[in-house]
Amino acid sequence: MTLQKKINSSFRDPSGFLFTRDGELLRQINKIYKEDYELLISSGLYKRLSEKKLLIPHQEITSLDFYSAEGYKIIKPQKINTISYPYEWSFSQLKDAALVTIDIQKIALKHDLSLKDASAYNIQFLNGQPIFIDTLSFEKYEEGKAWVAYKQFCQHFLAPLALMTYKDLRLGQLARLFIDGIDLNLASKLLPGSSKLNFSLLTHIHLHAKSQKHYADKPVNTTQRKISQQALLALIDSLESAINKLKFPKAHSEWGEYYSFTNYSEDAFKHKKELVEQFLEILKPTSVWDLGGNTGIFSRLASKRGIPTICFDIDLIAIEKNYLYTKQNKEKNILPLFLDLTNPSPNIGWANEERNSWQNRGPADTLLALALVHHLAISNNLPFDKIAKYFSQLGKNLIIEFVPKGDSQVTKLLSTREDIFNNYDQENFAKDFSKYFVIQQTKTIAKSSRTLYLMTKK
Amino acid sequence: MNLLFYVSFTLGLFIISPSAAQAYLDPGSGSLLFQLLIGGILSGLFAIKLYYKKIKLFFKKRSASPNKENDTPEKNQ
Repeated sequence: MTLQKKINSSFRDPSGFLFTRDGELLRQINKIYKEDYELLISSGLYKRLSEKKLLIPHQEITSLDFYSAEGYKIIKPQKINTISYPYEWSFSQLKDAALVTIDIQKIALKHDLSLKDASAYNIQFLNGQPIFIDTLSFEKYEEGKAWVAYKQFCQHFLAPLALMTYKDLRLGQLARLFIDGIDLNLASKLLPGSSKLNFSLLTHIHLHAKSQKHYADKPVNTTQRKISQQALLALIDSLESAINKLKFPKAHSEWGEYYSFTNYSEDAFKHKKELVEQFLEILKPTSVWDLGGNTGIFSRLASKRGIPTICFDIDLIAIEKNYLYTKQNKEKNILPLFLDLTNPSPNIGWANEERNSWQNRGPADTLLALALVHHLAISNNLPFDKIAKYFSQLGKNLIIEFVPKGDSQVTKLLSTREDIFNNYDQENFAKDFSKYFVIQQTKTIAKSSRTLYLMTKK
Repeated sequence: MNLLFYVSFTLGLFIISPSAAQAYLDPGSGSLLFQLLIGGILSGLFAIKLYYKKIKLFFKKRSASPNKENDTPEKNQ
C-alpha cells in the first residue's frame, strides 16, 4: 500500500503542494498552475535559476498517479537536509536570503515572469547557500502590473533587517511571533527617527506603512493604474540597495569570544578534540546537531567528515561569525542556527502545524553537548533528568561533557548565585542520564577535571 | 534629494489620488497603490544612478588606460 501525506507548510497555495509518498518528498502541481509552470520551463527561467543555484532543481515524474484530482504534474525537488526558519538565522543569513529573492525577481522579469510571493520561508540553506525552494511562486508578468509580493518582501526581509541594524539584533526573533513578517506599521513605530534619514527606509517602511494605513479603509480603483517596467525595475533596485546598505550592528559579546577565555589549557582543548573525533569515528553519524556550538570549532570535526552538521547557539554574534566563516570557506556541511535550548523553536502557524519545532525536525543521529550542561543545570536551574529527557527526544546518540563544580567556569557561574545545586555532581549526572541513555564510554579530558561521555538512546 | 520635498510630495499624492467604489482594500492594496505612487520618483532616481555609473565607468576606464599602456610587453622589454 502506498503511504502518502501532505506537508503542512504548503497548504495555502492553490497552485500545488508538497507531499511525501513512501518516504519520498514530491510536489504536486495543480491544473490551475499549468500555464505558469510551462512558462517557467519554456522561458528558460527554470534552467537559468537552477544553473545559478538560486532555485531548487527538480525532476519531473512521469507518473500520473496524482495525490488529488486537481493534479497536473508531479515533480521531485532536490532534498534539503534541514529545514530552517528566518527566526533561526543570523543577520547575514537573512540578508543573503533577501538578496537571493531580489536576484530571482530581477532575472524572472527578464524572462517575463514575476515572483508572486517573497516569503522568507521560501528560502532554505542548501550546501551552505541560500536557495529558493518554491517552484510554484512564479507567474506571468503583465506589463503595467505592480509587484504583488512587494509588501511581503518588506515585511519578511527589510523590516527585520532594519530593526536588527538600527535597534537590536534580537528583534530578528519577532519573525517567530509574526509568521507573515513584521507589520510595517509596527516596524515604523519601533525604528528610531534616524532611520527616516535613510531614503530607502523612509520610502519602503515609513511611507509604505503610512500608505497602508491611509488606504486601509478606502475603496480605490486599482485596475486602471499601471506601473511601467522601468519603474518596477527601479523599485527592485531600490529594495536591493536598501538591503545592501543594512550592516551587521557593531556589538560585543562575551560568548562571541568564548574560545579566547576558556579555562582549560591548550593540551586539554586538544585532547577534548581528539576524544570527540574518536567518538565520531565510533558512531559514524549520518547527522550531527551541536548544541551550544558557539562559532563551530567542534561542529567542524563532524562537518569536515562530510556529515551534515547544524551548529546551534543562543548567541547571535557567534552564529553570525560562524555563518560568515562558512561562507568565506565555502563550507557545505555546516549550518549555523539560533537556538535557545531553554525555549526552543515551537510548532507555529495555523493549527500549530505550519512550522515545526526542532523536536519535530529531528531526531538527529548524534548530539554534541560540549561545555553546556553546567549552563543548563546551574544558570537555568534545569534538573539533569529534564535535560536528559529532552536530549533523548532530539538525538539517538549523545556526546556530552560533564563539567564538575570544581571547574573554574562552574565556580564563575556560582559566584553570582546561591549554591542550591546539591545534586550537581557526576554521580547524579550519570544516574539521571542512564534513565534515557546507555553510557557506552567515559573518558577524562587530560589536564582538566572534565569528563566526556558517549551515550546511546535506550 | 530634499527630504521634506519628497515626504510632502508623496503624502500629497495620497490626498489627491482619486477614489472609485470598485474594490474594498486591505493593507495589501495600500502596498500596490504605494508602488504606483513612488514608481515615478524611483524610476527617475534609477535613471540618474545608471547615468552616474556610466560616467564613473568612463573616467575609470580613462584613468586605467595609461597604466595598461605601461604594462604592455613592448614597454617592459
